[in-house]
Amino acid sequence: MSATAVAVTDQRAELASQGRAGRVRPWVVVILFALVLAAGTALRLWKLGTSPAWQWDEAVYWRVAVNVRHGMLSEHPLLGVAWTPFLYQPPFYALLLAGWFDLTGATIFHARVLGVISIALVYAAAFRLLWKIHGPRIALFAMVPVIFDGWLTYIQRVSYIENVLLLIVVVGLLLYQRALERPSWHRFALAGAALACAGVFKQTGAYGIFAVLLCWLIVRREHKGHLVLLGVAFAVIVAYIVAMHRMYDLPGRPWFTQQSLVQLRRVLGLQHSGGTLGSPSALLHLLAAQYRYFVPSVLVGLSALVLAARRLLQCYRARNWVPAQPNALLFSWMAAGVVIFGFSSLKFPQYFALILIPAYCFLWTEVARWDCSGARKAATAALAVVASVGCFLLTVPTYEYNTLHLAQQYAKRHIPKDAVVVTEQSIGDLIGQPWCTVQYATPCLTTASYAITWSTYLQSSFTQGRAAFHELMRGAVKVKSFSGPVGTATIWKLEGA
Amino acid sequence: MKRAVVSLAVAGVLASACGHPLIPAAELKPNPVVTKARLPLLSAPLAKYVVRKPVLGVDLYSPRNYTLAQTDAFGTRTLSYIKNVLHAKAVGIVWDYFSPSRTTNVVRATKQGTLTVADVMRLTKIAKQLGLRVEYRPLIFIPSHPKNPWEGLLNPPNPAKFFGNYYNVLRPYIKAAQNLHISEFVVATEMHMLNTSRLWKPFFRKVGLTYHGVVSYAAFMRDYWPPKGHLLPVRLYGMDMYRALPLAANAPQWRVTRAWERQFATTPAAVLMRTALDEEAIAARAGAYGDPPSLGTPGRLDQDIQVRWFTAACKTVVKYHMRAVYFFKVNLADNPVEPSKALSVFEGRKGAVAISACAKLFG
Repeated sequence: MSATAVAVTDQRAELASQGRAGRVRPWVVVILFALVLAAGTALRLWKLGTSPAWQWDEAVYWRVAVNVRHGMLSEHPLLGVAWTPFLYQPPFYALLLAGWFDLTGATIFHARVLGVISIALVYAAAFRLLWKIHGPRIALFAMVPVIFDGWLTYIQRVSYIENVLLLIVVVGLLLYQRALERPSWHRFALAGAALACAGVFKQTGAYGIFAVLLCWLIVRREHKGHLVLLGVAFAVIVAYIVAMHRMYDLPGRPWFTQQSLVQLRRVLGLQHSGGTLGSPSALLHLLAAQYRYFVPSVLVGLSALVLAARRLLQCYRARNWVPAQPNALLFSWMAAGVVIFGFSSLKFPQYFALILIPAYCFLWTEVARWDCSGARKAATAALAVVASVGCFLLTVPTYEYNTLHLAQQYAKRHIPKDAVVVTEQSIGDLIGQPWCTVQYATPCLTTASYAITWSTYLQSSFTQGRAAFHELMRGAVKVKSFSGPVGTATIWKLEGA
Repeated sequence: MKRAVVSLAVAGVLASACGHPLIPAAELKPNPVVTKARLPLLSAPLAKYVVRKPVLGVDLYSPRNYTLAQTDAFGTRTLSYIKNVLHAKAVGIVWDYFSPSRTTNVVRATKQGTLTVADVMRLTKIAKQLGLRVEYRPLIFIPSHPKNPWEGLLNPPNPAKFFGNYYNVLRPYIKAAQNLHISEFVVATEMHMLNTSRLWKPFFRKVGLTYHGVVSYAAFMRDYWPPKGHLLPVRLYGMDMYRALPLAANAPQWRVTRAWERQFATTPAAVLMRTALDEEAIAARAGAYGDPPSLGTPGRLDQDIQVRWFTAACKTVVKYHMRAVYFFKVNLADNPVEPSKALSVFEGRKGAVAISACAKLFG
């Protein structure tokens, strides 16, 4: 019997014994999970309209989706710059959001509701995935601290693309696990298509394919199935690229290629993007300065990392992957996230959800399998839940001050409709006035009468702005400033305005 | 396997989907054909011109007035440096006039801030003795806007009155230029807000009645480049090159040169060969490629920035057969032996070596 077969047999035996020993029936587990999920979703919906303050990307996606409803895939067009569609991200989220806005209403609050619904589905799919791998009790045990994690609860109340992306990734992995359990080429093909869809939905979603590659390395079986999966994934991605190229690369205006390459260059660190974390020290400083409420989440995440490193060490000592095989998929998912987002030069706070969900799932399924009393395990999880929820509740009033919304309202009430404003991307998308970016303010050099600057711990208009912006800002008079935990928006009246 | 093939075929069909969803119809029209020879808007037909070797020039700038004796001493020292160390063939004598605000018709010389005509003549004579060509290039400052006293934002309510006042302050210098037979008089620099004024033509003509040499104008870079540029009605053109270029601080020379050349690639050859780079500078500061006009911005010293920028300027001038390049600046009161530590200064730095190397490049 091979090492793999031994591990699989051990896992099945463990599940069987768990089933025999467990007195809780599956439908009871489902009901309990539904209650937990309902509570987690309610926590995410609570005061959603007022906290957290609008985040940078939300305004951009909101504007693109609103424009899509009017037949235009673009942000708020810039002055003096040729019109370009918004293709820095694939258009599917904008299309989905536009459709959602048609149903509900076009506000950032409604976009957030869509995000919370997506996340509820993510957790339902993740629960099913853990059920398939470890059985119902462990799945329930692991999902409770994941659902109530402070950081995840906070970040998933924001309408990031990642909320929907995670759903596709988890469904892809669920299909993959199904293919591993009952191998057939079409199940692998379906999983490959789903995982490719994640990459097509947002480029970073392709990390699911790398997770599968690592899992294949660990389980070392179903080679043909894995090849089919990769082949289908490749075909779907190629089909997407060809279709997008045909639709959005016009002669002399290769919008799709150019913007996709910009994203690629950002990921590879060849092009700087504002608002990213540049170093581990910046991360620590950001945690201390802005996200200090999420220390319990950080500790849980670090524990997962330590546990994964320990498992890797066991594999090294054994000179094979057997120690990782019982939890191969979760280990691979987490490792792919850590490695790919660790090496990527793009590190936005919302990306951590793509690592933390597998990390937490891995950690808590490992804890559930520890050889110690159930009460002690339950106490550990309960402690994490209480600490996380407590910290999260502190963040709700703290992050209420909505800087971007206040800046938008100020522009609406106090800046003339036809006044030219120089500002940054997100604020430009929120306001109704004609505008130029701080990076390219030249077209507004003689016409701009207001500037709205934005500064956070990670970025500032004064470092992002180029020569023309600095020229405009000479002699500018500060008229209003909104400063919250997310950032500071300052409205300036320009000299000669 | 058949099903796989069918799936792939369906994907292929989908991929070949036509149409451009969510793109406004107006944006689907093909771009107008861009030729390399798109002309900026000319105010007058191009005059005849024969290409000559480019001229290496350095601006000698006096931000304040000095006594004649001081001017003589300073001028002898700095012009000798320009001639013998920088190996320049020409000097641009640059001095300041002042307008009290951006919306005024007044332009005047001041006792403290404007080099007198006697001083300018003295400098001209020293330069000529050293064998340097001389051009005059007065600037206008708006001291009421200390953070941005740029003349480009001067927008007089009565332009005719402004041009009259400006001519009056220039008149003695125009006479001096004629008497001393200088090679070129750049009568104004970067008057961006007035760039489309119809009063320039009579103004140039009026100057030309007294001074019979080359009368030109140093355009703000965005008023020079096509297609939005608008060139004033002069026989030979000039422009100030301060374009921010998206270059890394450690970009190699070829990359800097290529970026420079690209800036002029869409300007027709007929315009380029009639153009002088009247003002061109950068601080020896890391990151200065992204903000060349901010000569006073503090930062980390990086002498290679100036070297590559200056070399790229000279190579661009050679490539496009431009008339001249004038590096901004040596201050009249500078002591080139003990130059200032300011990052804008090239004296005593590798930048000076790069300028002198241009002399060889120009032949």
